[in-house]
Amino acid sequence: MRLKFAQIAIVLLLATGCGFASQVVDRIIATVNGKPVLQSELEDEIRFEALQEARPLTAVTAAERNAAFQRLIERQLLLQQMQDLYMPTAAEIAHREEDIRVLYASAKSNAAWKSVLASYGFTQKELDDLISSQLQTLRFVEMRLRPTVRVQRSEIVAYYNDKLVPQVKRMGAEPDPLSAVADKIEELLTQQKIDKMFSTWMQNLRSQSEIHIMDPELKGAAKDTEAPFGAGGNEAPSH
Amino acid sequence: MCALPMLVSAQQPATSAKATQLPARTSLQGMKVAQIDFQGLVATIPQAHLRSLVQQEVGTPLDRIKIRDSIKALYATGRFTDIEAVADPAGPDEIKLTFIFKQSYFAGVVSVDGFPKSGPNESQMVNASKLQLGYTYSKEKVDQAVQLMLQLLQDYGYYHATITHQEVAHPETQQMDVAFHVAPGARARVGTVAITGNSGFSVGQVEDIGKIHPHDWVRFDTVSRALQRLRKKYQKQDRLEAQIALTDKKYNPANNTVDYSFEVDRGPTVEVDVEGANLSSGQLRKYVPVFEENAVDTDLLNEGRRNIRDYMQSRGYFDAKIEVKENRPANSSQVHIVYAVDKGERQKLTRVVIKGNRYFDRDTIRERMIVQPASMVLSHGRFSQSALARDVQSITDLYQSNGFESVKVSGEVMHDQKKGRMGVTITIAEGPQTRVHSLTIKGNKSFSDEELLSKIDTGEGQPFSPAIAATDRETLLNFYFNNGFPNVQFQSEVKPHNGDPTKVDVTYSINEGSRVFISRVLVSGLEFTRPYIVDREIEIKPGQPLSQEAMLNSQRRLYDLGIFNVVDMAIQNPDGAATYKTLLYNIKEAKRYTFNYGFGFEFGTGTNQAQGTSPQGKTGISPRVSFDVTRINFRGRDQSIIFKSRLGQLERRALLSFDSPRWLDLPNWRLTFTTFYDNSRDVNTFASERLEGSAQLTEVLSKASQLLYRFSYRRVKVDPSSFPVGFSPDLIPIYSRPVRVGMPSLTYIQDRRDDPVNSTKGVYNTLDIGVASGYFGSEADFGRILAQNSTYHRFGKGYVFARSLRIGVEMPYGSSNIIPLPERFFAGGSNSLRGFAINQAGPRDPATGSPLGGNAMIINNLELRLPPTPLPFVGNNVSFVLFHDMGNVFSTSNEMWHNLWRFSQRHPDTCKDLSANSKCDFNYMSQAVGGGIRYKTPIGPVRVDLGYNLNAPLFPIKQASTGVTPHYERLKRFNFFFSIGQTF
Repeated sequence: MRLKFAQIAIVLLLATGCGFASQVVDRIIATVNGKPVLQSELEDEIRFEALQEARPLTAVTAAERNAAFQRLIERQLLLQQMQDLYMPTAAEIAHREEDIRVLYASAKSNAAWKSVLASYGFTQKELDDLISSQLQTLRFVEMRLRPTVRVQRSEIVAYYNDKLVPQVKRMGAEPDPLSAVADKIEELLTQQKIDKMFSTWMQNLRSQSEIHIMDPELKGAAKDTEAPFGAGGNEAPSH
Repeated sequence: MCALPMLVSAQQPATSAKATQLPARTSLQGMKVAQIDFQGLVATIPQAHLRSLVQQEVGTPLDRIKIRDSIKALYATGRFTDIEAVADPAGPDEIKLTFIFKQSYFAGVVSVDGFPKSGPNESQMVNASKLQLGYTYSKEKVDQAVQLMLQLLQDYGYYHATITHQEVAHPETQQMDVAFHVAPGARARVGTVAITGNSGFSVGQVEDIGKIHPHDWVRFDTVSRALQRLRKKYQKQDRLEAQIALTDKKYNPANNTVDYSFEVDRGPTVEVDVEGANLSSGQLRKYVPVFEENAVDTDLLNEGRRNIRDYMQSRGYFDAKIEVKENRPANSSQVHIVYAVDKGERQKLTRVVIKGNRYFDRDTIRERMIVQPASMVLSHGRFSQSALARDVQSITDLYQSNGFESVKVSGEVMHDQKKGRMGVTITIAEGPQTRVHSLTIKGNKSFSDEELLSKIDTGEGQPFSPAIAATDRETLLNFYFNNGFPNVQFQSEVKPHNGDPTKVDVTYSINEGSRVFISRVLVSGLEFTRPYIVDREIEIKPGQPLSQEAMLNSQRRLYDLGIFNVVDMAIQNPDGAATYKTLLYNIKEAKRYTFNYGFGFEFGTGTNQAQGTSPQGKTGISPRVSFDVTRINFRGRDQSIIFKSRLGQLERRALLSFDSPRWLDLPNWRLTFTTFYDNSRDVNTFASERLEGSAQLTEVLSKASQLLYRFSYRRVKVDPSSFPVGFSPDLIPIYSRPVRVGMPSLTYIQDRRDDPVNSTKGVYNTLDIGVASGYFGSEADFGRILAQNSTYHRFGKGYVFARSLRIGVEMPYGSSNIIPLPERFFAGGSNSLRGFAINQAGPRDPATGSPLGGNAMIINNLELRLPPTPLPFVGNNVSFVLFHDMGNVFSTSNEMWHNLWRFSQRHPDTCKDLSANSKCDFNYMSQAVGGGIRYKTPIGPVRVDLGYNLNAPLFPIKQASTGVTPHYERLKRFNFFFSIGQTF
């Protein structure tokens, strides 16, 4: 009996003294052209996405995790293309931060904003770094793709007549004249074309790259989602 | 601001997946790191360097960003395929951080066995695998290698081949050896051959032309050979636009055959004519590339036009105009191309004058010019307005690239009074040369400015030019590459100083990058060779900075050992950012035994056909067979044993030698033991049997000089039955006596020739001194000195004047008063005096007229070697020589010194006197002139020489013999020789 109590006491002591079992702080979940992608980066991506959309940090499904992982892969591919070019200025980073902050009515003071960030697991510096990386990537994509996009006048007119006017009328409102909305329609169509070109570009980059996924769950998810994202090779090197 | 859809995956997340919680951020963040450990490292990876890459410090709070950056930095070394950071409790609010590594492997020895004999060889298979020594190994790469090798085997017709593989991991070196085993299976045959289109031949004819018949074995060049042969066939028919293509190649697994389908369009015949000028058909084919390219298009026709124009200009028609017309009637099977030539006036460029040049001499400028005055090669010179313009530009570029930014060059044509003659004057105003006002070097942390400045050509106050800056760049980059900086970058910036274009401020910016050191040197592939033999040749040692030069030198030294077929060299993990790397040498030992056998012949004047009846010998051929065995890598060292044997009518020889290039591991000493048996009839007077053993030590004093210390012991027996019938009976006992000679000798060799096989420049000196004495077991006591001095002088365009003087003197001493016949000097033949047949110079036996050799010899050769003459079929491989040989063999050295200026035989009447007491004198300087042809081959020039003896000696034959009455003769004046290598 005494021995049993002693054993229980030892177990409790170990448990309370340590506080936790062995825990992975960080690990490599994939490599893209020889550059590692870490678990912590995937978590940051999930958290950043939630912060930008003012979504609470609830449980994450495997599909959401895989989608974030694929975005991370694409950002890696783009970062490898652009190296140190297209760095945003401090003002641009601050402007973008402001755009996110307005989504949080409670974050009027700096202390409140800091608390919001902490709830998502970020410090101010980590947020600035994430925003900087995001803006750098966006600018790179814009500079590569936008000059090649041309929206014809006929496409603007077609969109106005076939999509915008019927939609506004369905809502019971009177559509603005074409001359007033032509610029916005042009920008919208440009954006759509850029999106499409971006997808094709990403497919090509992936097919030319060596992507190894080490995390078994992500590897399985990537296989399930199939091409176009599976073209680059999803097997981890093994011995 | 545009929306931010950019990095959204095109895939929409499924809605029904199981949800998991994101791990809390604050569970470990901020806890103090009490200890940092590494797990999974092999002992040979230097931990100190790895620890320097970890940004998280012991005793500070855990920072996840630092952990992340640490993992990335450690991964960048390239040594690991996976890294995990794990935290374990180490006390209240403290953790122990462990980095767990999974180490990488790198491609090591790749071998292939089981490949078929009629397929690719091992080297081709290994190359096809693309598994490069030292690069990261992965299963995917091995799978890809198998696919690539299977593809290669299919190209050779092995469609049923299978390949298995075995890996052997070496964790201590991180090397992975891969052995592939090939089971080739049955080789495929050609199935059907289908021809579509308009070939003009039946299928059977196409098969014969292309050598591609059903049931033939499939070869790697089945298709390419067929296409090539068909194209050639059509070319002979002048169908230069024939189109032949493989449209389908289908493998039939059922019967292991390959069906081929070709699309053939023979096209029209193409006829090419020239109007207004005479060009032979050979010239037309040479200048109009449609024949060679098998196509007719505008570019090729224009190239033909330019070539014909250049040809006309080389003939003196400097203003020639060429037009090309192509007639291609519809529905016709013929194309007619006409080059219409308007020659214009024929002129001769008699001179090219260059004025105003000071910095460059005329030759430097002239060698860059297309315009050339009339010469032996260009009978009218070479000129055109465009050529002159190009010359002006290239001279301008030459000056500007050497700092003369404001140089002005102009060309002017002057027509002479005499019709058809003209000259060109190039006037150069050089202007001031740009000089360096200041030179700054930035970014150099590992080497001082002084050290770098001492290596480059640019200096303050010195002339500056982009060419010099480019040289400086190469020099500095090489310096850094050879001192452990493989990623160094260099940029130069040149700005005018205060706006003055003649003065520049130069800045060289260096980005050194990280310095890489060698952690260890791994050698693989040794089976028989002792490791220390390899280790001593490798210049680069662990701990030293990575040096490309040292690596290449080591590789060269390993090849120079002569015992390895392949020495592959690589850096392990070349793409990794690790600063300590392993150097790999993968060696393939050569086969230790090699066997050579051959059949050959020699011919020339003076070869012996019938013993004793022809003192001058006859012209003829002597066949010869040979058999050699070489054993290298003897005792696992760079020592070798060689056995050579020759068997022929003139020569029977067997030789055994042992060679140790680095005697007692001393780099400048070489030891050779040789023993041989020789039964030869070099000299027409007798056949000798020689058994000899020798030991020789070679000491290399410098790159050009060496000393040979030699002791030879030989027993020479002259076969008395081999003497010519009637050989003086008094002489037989003396000359037939077997002689033992023990002779130490010393030879000094100084070789400063540019090419020992075919010298055009330099000096070659030798001095050989030997003493035969009873102290060394010799039966005859005599001394010998033989000296040679040869020089080679290049002049003009490809001319070489070569000269050589050899003097040899022997003197008996002590109880000896004659030197045995086999030890005497003999001269005459392709390598000495070409006015005599082989060994025919000097004193002769009065009874039989056979040569006796002498105690002194002098040979002086003068040779003018002309530059190669372009000829049909042989190209530039043939050249001619003119020579003058002077000298002789003398009975004694006194006779030689006293008769150096005697150029005719003394008392020739005594040579016609057949009485017993008359003595014919052979002591004079014989002279011969002649010419020869040299044909260049990879092993040296093959030569044919024809010599004419200007003062051939008379000699008596006093002894009667069968079919021969006493008479006198004069040695043949004409002698020809065929051999390999230059005379000297």
